[in-house]
Amino acid sequence: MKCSDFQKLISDGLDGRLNPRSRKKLEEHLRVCPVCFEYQKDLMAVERELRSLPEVELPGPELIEEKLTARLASIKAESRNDKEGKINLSISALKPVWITVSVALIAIIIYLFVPANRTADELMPQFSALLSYEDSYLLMSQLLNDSESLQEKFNSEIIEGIYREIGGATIEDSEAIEIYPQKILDFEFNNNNLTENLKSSEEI
Amino acid sequence: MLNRKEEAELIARARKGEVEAFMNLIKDYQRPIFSLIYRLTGNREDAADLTQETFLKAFSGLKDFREKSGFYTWLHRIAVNQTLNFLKKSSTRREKLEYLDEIKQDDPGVAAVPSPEESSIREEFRSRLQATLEELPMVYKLPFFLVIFQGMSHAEAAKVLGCSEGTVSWKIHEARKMIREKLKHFVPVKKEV
Repeated sequence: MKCSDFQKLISDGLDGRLNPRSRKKLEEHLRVCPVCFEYQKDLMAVERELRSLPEVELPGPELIEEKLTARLASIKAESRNDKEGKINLSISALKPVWITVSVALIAIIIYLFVPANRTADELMPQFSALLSYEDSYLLMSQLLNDSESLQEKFNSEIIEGIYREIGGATIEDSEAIEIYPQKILDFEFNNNNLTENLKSSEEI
Repeated sequence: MLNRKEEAELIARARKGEVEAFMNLIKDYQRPIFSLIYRLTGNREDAADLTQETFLKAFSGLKDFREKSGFYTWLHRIAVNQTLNFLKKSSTRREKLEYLDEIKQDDPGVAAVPSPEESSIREEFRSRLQATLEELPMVYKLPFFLVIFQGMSHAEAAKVLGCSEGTVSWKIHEARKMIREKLKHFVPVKKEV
């Protein structure tokens, strides 16, 4: 080991970082090397002086503590305002959405739960506007199944429509034709009897 | 000084935004943080401002404090970064000299110039020593100050500076060599073998 290596050990020793083995080596070297011995002596004098330097005095509380407390309080107040602002902003931003959703829900509820006083004619176009094709179709089937009068009216409307298509004939004109619309209606509105109705249609 | 449990409780409360808890938490750290910054900048007003900024940063960054290092070490890291950024911004030599000029004779701390009457050997040695410390390059000054004045171990200083413990040891060794070299007229130096 060279003197420069021992001088590093001297520095480490001043900070209490020497293991027993290194300490022993250093002590042996210092006994025989006046340069390193002087080096250690000088560093110890500097170290003593450094440790005896007067402590830095803190400035008055108005310079750090009071200013800091005031700034921290304002930061806290700002962050609270920011949070409240964000909540208010999000509520006001959602207002149109809430209104739209509420109106739509009310409309759906009214149509779903107050259908009794409406005729099939009134219901069908409105439901088809609000619901999907499948939903409105199922709903109409249920309404027709629940009410015989509605079903009769609906059937007669369709039959009359068919007669009109055929060319001005009325339902009373032919008994044979009477079977045809009934079978068609069964096929259209009773999915459980689909196979049977298909068979009936084929027969026709 | 706070014990670990008390410190952890105050940290938890300060994290929730309790200013009072935070002020209690940093109460014991105001002096060491201010001292370090003052020794690095040489100006009391700047040191006071930077100390404030350090604590403000600590308050806002407390949620990110992982407690891997101690709170004391973490604060020092913020203080060192704040001070280095500040010195970088105002690093012209002239500005530095102006700071030194501002320091009054009765100003406690570093770089006091002794009057002719006070120039006993020890006083002169002390004033030279303080001037030498001022002149140390920052790369040696920081680890040296953290260990000598802040009472940190090499490992703690390494955490503050984000380097290895070995690097800190070498920088301190080099700093001591430089100080001795500068003070050779006051401390006689013999030729190495």
